[in-house]
Parts: sequence; structure tokens; C-alpha cells
Amino acid sequence: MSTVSAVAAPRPFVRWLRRALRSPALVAGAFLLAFMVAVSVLAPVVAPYDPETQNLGGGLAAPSASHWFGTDQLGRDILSRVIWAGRTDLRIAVLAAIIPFITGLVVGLVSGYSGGRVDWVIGRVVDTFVAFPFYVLIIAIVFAVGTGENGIFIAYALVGWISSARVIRAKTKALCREGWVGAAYGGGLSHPRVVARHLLPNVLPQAVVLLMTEILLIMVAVVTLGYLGLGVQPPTPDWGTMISDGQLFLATKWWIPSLPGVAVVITGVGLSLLGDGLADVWRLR
Amino acid sequence: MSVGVGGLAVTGLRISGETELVHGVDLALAPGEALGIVGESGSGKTLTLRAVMGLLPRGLRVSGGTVEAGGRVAMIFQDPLSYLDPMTRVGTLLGEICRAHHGGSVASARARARELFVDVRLPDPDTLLRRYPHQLSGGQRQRVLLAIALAAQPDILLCDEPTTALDVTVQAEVLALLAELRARRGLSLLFVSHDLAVVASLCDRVVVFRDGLAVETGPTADIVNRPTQTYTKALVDAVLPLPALAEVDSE
Amino acid sequence: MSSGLELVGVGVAYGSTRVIDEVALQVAPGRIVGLVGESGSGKTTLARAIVGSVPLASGSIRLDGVELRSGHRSREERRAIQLVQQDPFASLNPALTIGSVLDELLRVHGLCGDRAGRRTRSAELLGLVGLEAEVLDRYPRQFSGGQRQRIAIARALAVEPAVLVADEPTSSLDTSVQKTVLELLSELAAQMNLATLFISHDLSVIHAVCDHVAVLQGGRLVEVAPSGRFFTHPEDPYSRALLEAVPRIVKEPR
Repeated sequence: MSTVSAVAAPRPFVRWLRRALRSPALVAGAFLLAFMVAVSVLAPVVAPYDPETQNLGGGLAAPSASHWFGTDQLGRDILSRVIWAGRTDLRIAVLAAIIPFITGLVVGLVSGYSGGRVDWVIGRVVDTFVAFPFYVLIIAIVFAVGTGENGIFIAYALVGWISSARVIRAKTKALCREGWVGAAYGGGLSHPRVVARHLLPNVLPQAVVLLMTEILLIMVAVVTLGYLGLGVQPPTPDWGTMISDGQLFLATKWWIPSLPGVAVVITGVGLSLLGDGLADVWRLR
Repeated sequence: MSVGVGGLAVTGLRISGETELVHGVDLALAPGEALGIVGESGSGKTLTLRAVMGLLPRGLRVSGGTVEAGGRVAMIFQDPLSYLDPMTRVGTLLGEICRAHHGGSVASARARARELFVDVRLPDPDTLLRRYPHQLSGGQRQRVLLAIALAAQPDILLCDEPTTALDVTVQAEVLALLAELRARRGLSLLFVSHDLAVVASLCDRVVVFRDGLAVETGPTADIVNRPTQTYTKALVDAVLPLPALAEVDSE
Repeated sequence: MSSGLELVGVGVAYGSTRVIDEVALQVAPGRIVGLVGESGSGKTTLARAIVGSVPLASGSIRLDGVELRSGHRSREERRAIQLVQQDPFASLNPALTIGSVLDELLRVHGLCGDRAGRRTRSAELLGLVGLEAEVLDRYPRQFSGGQRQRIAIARALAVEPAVLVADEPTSSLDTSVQKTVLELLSELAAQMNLATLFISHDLSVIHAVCDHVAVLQGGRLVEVAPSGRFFTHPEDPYSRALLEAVPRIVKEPR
């Protein structure tokens, strides 16, 4: 009777956390994102002023001690507006990412595992979507369905799953070449069980990393649509409309359009770093 | 102490990465001799060979000891496919290498490449020179690798498990070829393998490696019949015996 | 009582090329039949055809007299023939503990009652292959190649198959570990009355465990013979060439 030479592992989550903390990208990304999320969630508490209160006399004021980000053309405090707009945009981005995430995961798994005709049909559907420039599709759907949050949710639910489905399919196909997938089915497990219990845990890390990118892209889309007037409608604050409204002042009162832009960049960089960091920790790259 | 041409002296070799992997190994190869290194995976045998060639993977370094090689050293590897550029015809590759070693025109290099193909007993060399690596069989690729090694006109040939991935009949041919080249060119061979039977059939002397140390050294007959170390005994015992093949009755 | 595995006129084609042609073979319960072939002989394709992952172009594969179709085998048919593969590093799901894999297999086939019963049985299975119960809570990455191969064997045995197909099970293992795994397979074949098909390119390994030897060349069987006769008096020239090519250690007579 031989003894097992492996070392007993400390709780897997603790080991994972230790590895995670060694990735500078993950730490930086998590920190940035946590900061932005915390500020958004605590908006009612953290924002110094009401984002809607106008003060026409004190408009176009440069950043100062009383208004860290200055005021816009209607005298509204930009810092508070940036905070509240972040709350809106982040919320929409995260919620709108859920359905495409699930769809992409399911389609990728089924397509990769089934192979053959099912894979072929799904592949042609994907090819059709991919033939159109992505933003053209999004804008067309938003136009058809109506502007605002619902338009964005529906547009991404219909179209946002494509890129992650392709990546998940590739990963699934690669995994299916490994012996344990055949062994699971050969052992008598049904196909759905093999996919859900055996393949899914191996594919999930990749999917989560893709989710970070998805949220980032949706956030940028929300801001872009807002900028184009097709997204979140006033009076709800949104980074995109703030940039659009303020672009006249880019040369003269730079803080009005720029600071919302900086907020977008910081959030985007945070998401991106977090995605990279997770990919490092899970050794996906 | 100086080694003659075709000789190799490794003294107290230590190789380390994050931890020490090879703990002071001594090897001596006399000119024209074939020395076999036998060990399991992780024993340090491949690392030692690579250290002699100066090809340690990134992150590993020689942390002690010396390697003294008399003359030119060439090496062949286990998986020829990963050592041949998939986008280059093997003849072109060999031609470039010949030119890199000896200069000369493209035409003379091409002629030299053809000669080398004949030396390694590749059939129909003109056709094979124009092939891409993936169009050749495993045995043919290994011969190409051998031709590349010979292009340098080496005095010492290092072999890192060159026949492990080959079919047994092809392995027999490649081993016969190595023996022939050794006889014809007076090459010294340092042959690494996990297979004691392969090493015993080709080499005059054998070194047994375990966990980064050379555990026992001696002439092949002694190692096989009178191993002194327990580990060596275990290795010899683990070789599965085959009954003697009866001779074919001649009519 | 199973009558074992029977292949009659089995052929497999990839497109228009016949990769396996007219293979007839029988593996009786409790016996180990060796299938020898070099690369390209089709031995892995044959293994996959027996397990049902590759469709037959002709002939039939029978278990206990009942014909098995490929691609649409029932749970019971799949359970009856188990495969142990060559690469121990790809044979276990990296995301699941050994215990959860064994538990699921036992549960899906309705073996051993409740969770506690299954856990006991899983520990027993590991014991059969010489591993301790602690292994159940660990992940594959914590084990060596030889250990993983033994776990793969335990997994194959968990569903209580009638036939075991071992495709180069020791090729990726060190020689010292190889001996242990080979002895294990021999014992299990006898103990559990398994019909075992042992596939390898290594003749010395085949000699160590097999009662009968079948030689596959270019998709066709060129010789089938009892072990005793085959290794000393092979009939086919290809078999002879293979045997002559094996490097042998010549020991001095004592």
C-alpha cells in the first residue's frame, strides 16, 4: 500500500487568494474597480451636492475647494454628477451583461461539445451576426426598440453574446480532446450532465474573464449611446450625455467634458486590469 | 587535466533554478567512447546534457562545477518535429546550416546537404531534400536532425532520448545508424535515455542518475550483471525480460 | 456470466480510407489479450471503435453475444466497456476532486445506496489500486503520472465493467512505476473476471501481462497467437521483425 506523496492543500480559496494577490494587474484592477463601485453605491452619501440642483449664477466655475470638479453651464456640481452618472452607467453595464454572459456560455458549450450539425448551424448564425459592424447592430436595435435603458438591455441580450460564445466554443473543443470528457460520457453520464458538471467548471474561469470585457464594452456603449443622444435620457445623469453636453467647452472650460471622460477611463482600466489579472491567476494566457 | 579531441570532462556540475536540481555530477567521456546516461524523469539527466551543450532552459543555470569538451559538440533531440522549422524545406534548412558552418555558395551547401542525407541513410535524398518536416516520417525526421548535427562535423554527439518516440523497428535502425556513424567517424557519444535496454545495446559504459546525482558508473556489462547500488539493481530488475527468439529454421 | 468481447470482421474508415480492416478478435473474461502495433497501425482507432466513439464501417462488436452499435450506446452498454487511456495528465477532470467523480459514477448507476455507502466504496476502489482514502478529497494536479493512472483504473472499475480496454496505459510512466501498474492490471483482470484488451507498442510489456497476442499492421491483424508461442516462434515475418528489433539486455549466464 503506497502512501500518497501529494501535499494536502490548505483550503482552495485561501490558496487562490494568495496567488491572486501576487498579480499586480489583479490587485490594481480590483482596487480601481472596488473604488468606483463603492463610490457609485454610496452616491447618496458621498456626493457633496444634489446632481440636479442648478445655480445659474455660479455656472462654468473652475475646480475649487467647494466644487472639486467645478460646475457646468447650469451651475450643477460636476463631481456629484459624475458620481451619480457612474451609478447609472455601472448599473446598466453590469445588468446588461448578465444575459449575454449566460447565452454566450450556453451556446459556446453546446456548440463546442456537440460538434457536427449543431455546431455548423450555430456557426452560420454567428457568422451572420459578425458580418455586421457591431455598433451598427446595437444602434439599429436601440433605434427600433426605443432609447434608454431598455433599449440597451435588449440590444445586448440579442447581440452581445457572440464574441464570448466563440471563445467558449474554442475552449470547449480543446477540452473535449482531453480524455476525461470521453471518460465521463463513457462512464455512463448523460450528455447534459457531462456539459454542466464536468465541462462548465473548466470553462467558467475563461467566461468570467470575458465577462469583465463584456461589462467594459457595454459601459463604453452606454456612454457612446448617451453621447449620441440614444442612450440614457436626461434628466438621469450619464457620462455620455455629460460629455456630449460639455463638448462645446472642451477648449475653454475643459473640466466639463473631460472629467466624466476620466471617470470612464478609470472604470474601463479597472475592468480591463481585473480581467487580465484573473486571466493571469487562472493561467489562461 | 585536459581532455583529448572527442573527450568530455564534467566535474562537480551543479544546475539550479529556484532550487538545486543537479547536485555535483562527474562524468568522463573518452574519445570514441559511447557513454549512456540512464535515469527516470526528473533525475537530471536531460539537464546535464543540455548544460554540456549550453542549452539550459530559461530560469536555470549552472551553479557550480565545470564542463570541458574537446572539440565540437552537436546534439540531437527527442522530438524532431519541434526542432525543425515547419515552414522550411529540410534541404534548404540543412543547406543554410552548412553554409553557416563552412561558408561557400548556395550550390555547394546544397551538394553538402545531399551528401549528409546519404550519410544518414535517407533513401531518395533528392526527393526528400525538397520535403517539409511534416511530410516526413518520425524516423526520417530524426535522421534529418542527425544530418544537421553532423553538418557541424562534431567530435562529440549528445543524444537526448532520440529514439523514445519512435517505433521499435525504426528505433533499431536509428541505433544501428548511430553505431555505424560512431565507427566510421570516430564520434564520441553521450546518450541519454530512460530505457536501460536501449542504452545497454549501444553504449560501452553507463551512468545511472537519480534525483540529480550520478549514483553509479561502470562498464555496461558490470552495471547489468553486477549492479552495486540498490537503485541500479531496481532499474535493472524493472527491465521486462523477453524470451529468446528462436532462430528461423534454414531450409 | 459474460462471454466476453468479440470482434467480427470489424472495419473502420475515415472518409474513403480504410483504417481498420477485417479485424476478428476475442477476449474472454479473466483473460488479457495484447494488441501490438506501431504508429499508424490503427490500434488507438480500434480502441475507440470498441468503446463506441468511432463508428464501424463494417463488421460487428459483440459483448456477451449482444451486438453493440457505436454512437448510440445505452448507459448500460457504455458502462460495460471501460477505457484506460495513455496520457495520465489528460485523463482526469482538473476541476473536480477524485471523490466527486467516483461518487457521481456510483450514484448515476445506482450503486451503493447512500452517500456514506458510496464514499466507503470509493475508498475501497482506491484501495484496490493501492491508494489511500485521503485521495478522494484531492485534485488531479496533486498527483504524479503513475498515481493518476491508478486513479483512472479505479474510475474504470467503479462502474463494474465486463471489459477493460487499456490503451498504452504505461507508456508515459517511468519503468519503476510501470511494473506496479502492470501487476495491478493482471491482478484485477483475474480478481474481477475482466476481459482485458491491452494495447501497446512495447513487446516487453505485452509479454509481461498478456495471455494472447494480436499483431496489428496497417489496420489488419497479421497474427494472433498465445503468448508462449508468439515470443519464441512468431509465424508472421512482421511479428518476427518487431521481436528482432526490441533492444535486449544480454545478461551473462550465471
